[in-house]
Amino acid sequence: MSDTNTPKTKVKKESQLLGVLRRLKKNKLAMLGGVILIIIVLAAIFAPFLTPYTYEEMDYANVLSGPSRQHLCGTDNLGRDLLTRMLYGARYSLALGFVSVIFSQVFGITIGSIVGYYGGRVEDVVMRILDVIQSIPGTLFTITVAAVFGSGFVNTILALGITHIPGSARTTRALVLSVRKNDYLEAAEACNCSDIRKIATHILPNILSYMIVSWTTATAYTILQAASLSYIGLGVQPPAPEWGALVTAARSYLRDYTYLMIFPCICIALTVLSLNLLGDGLRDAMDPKMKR
Amino acid sequence: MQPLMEVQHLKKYFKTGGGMLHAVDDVTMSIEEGRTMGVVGESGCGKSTLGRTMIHLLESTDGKIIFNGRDVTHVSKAELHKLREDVTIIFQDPYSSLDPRYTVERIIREPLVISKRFSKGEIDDRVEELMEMVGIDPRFSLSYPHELDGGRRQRIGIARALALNPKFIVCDEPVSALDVSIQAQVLNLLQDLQEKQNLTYVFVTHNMSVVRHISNDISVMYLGQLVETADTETTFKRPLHPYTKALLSAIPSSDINKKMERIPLKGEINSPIDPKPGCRFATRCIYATEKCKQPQELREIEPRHFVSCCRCEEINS
Repeated sequence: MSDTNTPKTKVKKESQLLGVLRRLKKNKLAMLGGVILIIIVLAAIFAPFLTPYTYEEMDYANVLSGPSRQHLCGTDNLGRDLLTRMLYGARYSLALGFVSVIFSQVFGITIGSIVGYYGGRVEDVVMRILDVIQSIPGTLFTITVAAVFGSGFVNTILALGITHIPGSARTTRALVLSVRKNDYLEAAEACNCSDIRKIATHILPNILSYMIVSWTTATAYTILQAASLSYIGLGVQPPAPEWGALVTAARSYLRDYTYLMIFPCICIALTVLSLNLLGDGLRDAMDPKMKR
Repeated sequence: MQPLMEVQHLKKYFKTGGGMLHAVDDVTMSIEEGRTMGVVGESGCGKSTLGRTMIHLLESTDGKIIFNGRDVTHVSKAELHKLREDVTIIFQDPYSSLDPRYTVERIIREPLVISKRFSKGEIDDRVEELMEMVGIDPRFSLSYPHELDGGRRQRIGIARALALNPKFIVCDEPVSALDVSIQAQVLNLLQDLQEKQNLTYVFVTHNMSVVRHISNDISVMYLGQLVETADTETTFKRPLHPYTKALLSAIPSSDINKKMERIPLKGEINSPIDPKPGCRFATRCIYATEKCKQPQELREIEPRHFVSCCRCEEINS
């Protein structure tokens, strides 16, 4: 190198995360999803400051009153404020969705990337076991697991998480297989890169953007499943105001007090929709080839 | 002169549904330090497999690999790690050989980081030096591979291969995915680097003009076996094996007055799965006789000119 005093012409580029955010900003639908999701999360966190009631507080004077200035979304059969219950319910539903998806992905990615990378006899055995589990209808399996563990918040997370492990492992394995034959892995091998390092620094980053979509859809699906579990009485137990439980409670009053069901359903639908929009946008934004 | 890399009766078989695929079958060759051995042959003749087996990217089935005077056929994990700092590979496809999520600088840095022998500052300097060595402008250091053209990408692949100062490099068709104008640049770069650092190459290709340009010696392979090996000039002037003759006759000539005498080959290439003993080229060879059904051996017909054909003398007299 020449020893001239020219300053280093290093062009510092934006970090990967900033690049992803910048590209995400250009996707209007994804931003809409993100904004809605942030609002829901913030509402869940700051629920006590947003409403003068607590979710167990009963107002016998206003039982089953429709939306009014006092109770923006009306009250239920015990005179509890529905808006308050939905705000607190968001805590349960979101936590259920996120935690059980994290749980299932941790196991699913580990299993999927190992069997996908090494292949062979172990892969055959593991994949056939997963086949057997997946051949049981999803909801039925969740119900069975939930029945074994019993109801309650933590057990619901476990039941939902375990149900999603096979799907996650299968997706990860398929994605690992799709990049495994690339020469850059052989190049890594040629410079003494260990297997774990190869999986962690070459394979997983390359399939991450595709997995993110499956994470967001899985979260959305899990929230729905948690709601259905509560609906049949196996999920989170009353008086916890989980969204599915709210829908369950509303079913007896469906004909005359429809709003009791409509508002929680809107919450669920909005969350699921915004998760899906955000997931799609993130996948596109994380691809470095999409740089513009 | 002692050869740097030597393989003796090297075999690499792959298990397939239909039987054993003889990708490399009983290949013996030696490459002296600072020289380039061109390995040519048609697609599927095992030339890439040979290169990968030499440097332990594939485990050999049988035979011996001797590197720098030491038998490295079977090595422990620690020895393998040591060996891989001396031998390396440059890939054919500069698209799939670079991780699309790594920046140029990070790709070149990787071997240095993994070797754990250098401090961060040393690595930074070395990366800069390597980029200069292969002619990539520092402004590309934070670019991603897909932002660069094929020639630059191949340079990155070369820089990565050179990172740990290897002695021996397998070049697996390093220019066949590039435009002709870029091919010349990359070939010249490889030659310059060879001169400066006394590198030894095995240059795998199916392009006869490229191999003539860059090689000191040429080995011709057919269906996993070595059919002829000699220095470049001899191979092109006086090919002795019928297959080499056919192969050389297929090179197009740019001289309009020179009449091309093509030796067309008839028939299909044999299956490499559980092949019969005897000359594998016999089914397509115009000189084939009963004798060719016997196993052939590589014989030194002239000094340093090895041919594996039992009728070699009759044909060429």
